[in-house]
Amino acid sequence: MKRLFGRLDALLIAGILLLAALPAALYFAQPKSVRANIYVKGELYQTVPLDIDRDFTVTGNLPVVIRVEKGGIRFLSSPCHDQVCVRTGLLTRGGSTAACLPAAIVIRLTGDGKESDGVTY
Amino acid sequence: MKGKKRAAPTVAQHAALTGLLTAQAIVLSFLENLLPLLPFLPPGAKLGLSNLVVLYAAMDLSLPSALCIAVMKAFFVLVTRGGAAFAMSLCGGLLSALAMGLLLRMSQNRLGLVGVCVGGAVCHNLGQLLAACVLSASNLLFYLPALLLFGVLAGILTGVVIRLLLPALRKQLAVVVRHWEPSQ
Repeated sequence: MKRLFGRLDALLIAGILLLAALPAALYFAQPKSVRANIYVKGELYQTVPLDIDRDFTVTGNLPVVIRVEKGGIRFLSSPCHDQVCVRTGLLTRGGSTAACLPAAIVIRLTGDGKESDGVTY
Repeated sequence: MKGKKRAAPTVAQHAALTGLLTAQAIVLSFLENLLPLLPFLPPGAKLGLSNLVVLYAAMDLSLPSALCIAVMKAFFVLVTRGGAAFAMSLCGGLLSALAMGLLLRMSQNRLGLVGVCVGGAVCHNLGQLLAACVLSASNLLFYLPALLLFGVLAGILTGVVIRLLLPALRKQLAVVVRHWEPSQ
């Protein structure tokens, strides 16, 4: 009578499972499409993708240097006196925000679907 | 093959057996629909019990017989569940029957029943998904990994079941074809 299970069967099943896992792996490997909105004096000034590392300067009341790195974004330096924005550090998750009030510049991340439903202060 | 005592079914016996198996495939798919849907299973994930009969037909009768059962089963679906379900059943059924037939022939007995069943179940899901893609004119391929996974699970299960049912199915065949002996 015909055999139930052999090495070839295991090989076939493993191959199919691998094929099934491939798209999932690709999906998780690709960077999340989070983008940063930069607001100057409350107005949307620029939208920045976070997949290319670079530094750039945005000028509000003061010129600040913003750096995109490791799929996140941060205030690299600011001429302001309190440095709250720089100490906020790297933003990576959708919904997180950093602000430099003296320069009137706000960075807010959007777009990976993991944003908070609501925030109260 | 042990050719000496093996009696090939005549055309009439072939037709009779195909009809018998078709009826059984339809009953199995009906019974399967009576099973409650498990909440953790995605839509479209089924046991595919009628694949048992199709595989058996491909094994002991012929590939055309297996394809015929798949087509007849699809017509049953057309009558009971409508056109879209018919197209999906036809696509899946034919692809699955073809795959199982080819796997049986080409593997030279090195592939076990589980392997053949898994191949058939996965191809059934693939065919259904392709039909669904065409019908809904949308890209549903993101759904493929889940269907592959459940195809493998269903295939393993049906492979074990057909092993258990094989003696009964062969006894049934031997009633129609005297002196018949299994080739494998």
